[in-house]
Amino acid sequence: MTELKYTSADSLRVGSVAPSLTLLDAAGAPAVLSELWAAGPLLLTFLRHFG
Amino acid sequence: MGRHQAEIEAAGLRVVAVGIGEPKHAQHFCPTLAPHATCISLPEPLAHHAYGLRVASLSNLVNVQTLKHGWRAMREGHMQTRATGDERQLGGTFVVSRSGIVEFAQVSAIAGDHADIPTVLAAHRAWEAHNL
Repeated sequence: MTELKYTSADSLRVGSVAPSLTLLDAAGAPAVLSELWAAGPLLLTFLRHFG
Repeated sequence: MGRHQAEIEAAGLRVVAVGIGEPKHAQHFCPTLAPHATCISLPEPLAHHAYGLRVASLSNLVNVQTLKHGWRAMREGHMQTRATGDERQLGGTFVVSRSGIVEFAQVSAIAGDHADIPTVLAAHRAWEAHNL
């Protein structure tokens, strides 16, 4: 799995390994993407912003 | 996306919405922006950058198509208020398999350019048919 890497990337293509990042859930706890998709496939939608 | 929630769940997909902001922003906005999703965030668009999402130019933010998108969102009840993060950051949608492989990728070219959910689900079904 790709380690935490906060750098700009070319757009991911089908078949690429998705970067596993650690973000925060709504309660402020760490949320690791690879742990989320290990439980089942994700539809990962990136919002432009909150608001 | 909300109107396709039953189909998304039937396809075995969990929706995770990645926002730019603090957890308190996710708590406040996700019940309306992404009511069926697990919301996660960072204060900076670092995850957006890691997934190769674009930063818009002015013409990507304000043009006839984005105005249509804004009108459609308003008709669906979404009223934009003060936003967190960088207004120029664009979004995108990915389906990621249980093993961490990208099954579907959509990178927004302009503001309000969302993935077509039936297309997303068809891609997921095709992926599963070939990889299970």
